[in-house]
Amino acid sequence: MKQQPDWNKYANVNLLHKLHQDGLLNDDAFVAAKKILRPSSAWFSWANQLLLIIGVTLVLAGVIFFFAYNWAQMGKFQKFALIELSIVSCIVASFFRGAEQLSGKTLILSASVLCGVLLAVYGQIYQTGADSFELFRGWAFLIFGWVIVSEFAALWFLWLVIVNTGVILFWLQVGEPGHAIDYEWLCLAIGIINSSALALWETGLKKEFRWLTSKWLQPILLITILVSLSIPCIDLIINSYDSYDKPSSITFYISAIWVLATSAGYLYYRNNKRRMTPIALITMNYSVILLTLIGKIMFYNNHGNAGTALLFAFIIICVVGGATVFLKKVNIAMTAKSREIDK
Amino acid sequence: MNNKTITIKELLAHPQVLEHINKSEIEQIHYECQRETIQTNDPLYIKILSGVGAWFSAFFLIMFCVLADLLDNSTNATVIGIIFFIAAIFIAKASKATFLDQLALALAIAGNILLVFYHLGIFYNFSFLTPVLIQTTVCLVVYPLYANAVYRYLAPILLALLIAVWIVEEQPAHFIHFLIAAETLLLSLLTINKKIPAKFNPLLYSAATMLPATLLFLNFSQISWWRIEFQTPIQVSSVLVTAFTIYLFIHLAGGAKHLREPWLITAIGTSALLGAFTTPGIPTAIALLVLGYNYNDRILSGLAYLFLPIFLILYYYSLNVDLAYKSWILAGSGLILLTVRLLAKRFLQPKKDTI
Repeated sequence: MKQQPDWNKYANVNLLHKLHQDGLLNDDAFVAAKKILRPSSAWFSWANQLLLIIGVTLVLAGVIFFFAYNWAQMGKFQKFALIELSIVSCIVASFFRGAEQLSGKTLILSASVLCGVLLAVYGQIYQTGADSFELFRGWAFLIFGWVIVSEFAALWFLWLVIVNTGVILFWLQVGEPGHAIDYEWLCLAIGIINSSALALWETGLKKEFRWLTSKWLQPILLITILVSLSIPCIDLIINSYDSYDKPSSITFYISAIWVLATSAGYLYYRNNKRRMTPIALITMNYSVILLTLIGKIMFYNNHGNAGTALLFAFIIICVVGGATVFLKKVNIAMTAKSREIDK
Repeated sequence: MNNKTITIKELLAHPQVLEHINKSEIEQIHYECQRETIQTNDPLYIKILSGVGAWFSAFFLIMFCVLADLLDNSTNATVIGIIFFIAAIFIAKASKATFLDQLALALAIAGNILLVFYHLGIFYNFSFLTPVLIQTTVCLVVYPLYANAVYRYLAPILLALLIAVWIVEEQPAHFIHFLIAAETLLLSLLTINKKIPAKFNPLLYSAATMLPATLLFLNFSQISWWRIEFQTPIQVSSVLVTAFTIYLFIHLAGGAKHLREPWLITAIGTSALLGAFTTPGIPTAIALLVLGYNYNDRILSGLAYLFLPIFLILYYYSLNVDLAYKSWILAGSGLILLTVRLLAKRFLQPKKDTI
């Protein structure tokens, strides 16, 4: 694929390496240019952030292990006091440090993790026999306020992980036993939760919230949505001929929702946002569903046929090749459109 | 953390760059930019899509061969494997069309699998060295001939995997350090050399995947629930990868003349301590992290972010102490890192650069 490194566009390290690798930039000029783009202060702040993130993670892991050990010598009030004191310290320190600083945000994140530890210790001391999904529910509820005020993508992500885990545990502990709730409802719930989060993320981006500019959260949310909605679709395709395990009506509805959600997502990212990663994920998802459908039709009652295997191999090549051509075309069209708007 | 916002034109006109570059070189870059000749590779998502698709189509191609009784003996398998390879190389050279490219990749993967795995039946005295030799030959022959990034990434990984299996099954356990040494050397050559041709980029990613993966395997072999026959001291590899990490830091700092810089002394000291007291995977993951940041390369950074937590978890998991003591060690190491950060901010912070 050809891409024009516009003379008046922003320079970046990748482009410098490319120019150097192609012999267009000599060694000395490359080193000098790189020092301008990536000065020692940039290296320093990068290392600083890493040390903070790894350091805090290790400390929190140590705290979790400490309480998981379930010290017999330690009284219950001591345990509670220790955790609660840590939570209060984190919040107070974050207040003085400033919630807009990374260290302040990390302190709020630490307090949120410690809330989970507090609930776990509570469950350890007062063994009520409650299901573990209740811990996650309580945890998500307790830290929600901090999640809102922190303006920290990592804390939002942690909160989403807690909520998703809570929902999955609820289904495993309440829904699944006795087949009270079909698994499709779980998929739908996961899909709705993460779609709402994605919608909020997009709204935040539109409002130019700087803390939402990191790109890693969007693909994770989108993959979760696509996987959760695709499972019933694949089930519908695979079991549609099966007279013993016929898909229920909810499977049809969720498949319809998958069609609507992916189409809407594609149109939104294609025409409104012009972002390639979500379009690529949706296209890959379509390819998987399409190949499952074709595979089911071809191999149904036709397992040992060499010709079918060969034909299916070529169909995979065509579908994947088609998806690749499509993505390349969309990329070119969107880049052209963006340039037009920039002008 | 982000690149400074400056255009290519402004960057080349900067006095610090201008003193190393002449007018004709700037014009050449400008000309090339206008001509759109600088080509970038396919985006990562296309490579993933293409690789996964080719794997599945290769599976069905082999299934076709099995069902059509084409693989009833190893000679047939070898011949078909070679034909697949030749077809892949021919198609890739003859056309750049996406569909044919995808077909070539599927044929290359299927051919590789047939050659390596179906070939084994020829030998009555079965040895794991045979697939290693075959894959080495395949890599040496096919890598220069077949210019597909996905295949060039996967083939060396399969070779490393086969070598690891051979060592585990037939060689003394300490042979694994030779494999780690080779992978470290390959990674150093490909990252430290300033002008490696672009065709070696997939090999760089292979090395960056193979090295931590082999170290991970070595780590697993030390844990009691892994097969106990495979035991070798981990320190040999620790020395190797720590030396690589230190050399990398010195190289990126601009050479040995910067050895007195306090931050470089800190980085070298930290790497040496990590190498001496933790698992070799941790300095390796840190080296990948640094490389990823240096090259602004998402794949290298992604590999580092994937392997670093795994090595950290494994290290603390394999510590032969009770949970209570482990919690102190974990929290203590975290506090050490936070203290280092605090001290660095106080004493080592460089002045803010201005363009």
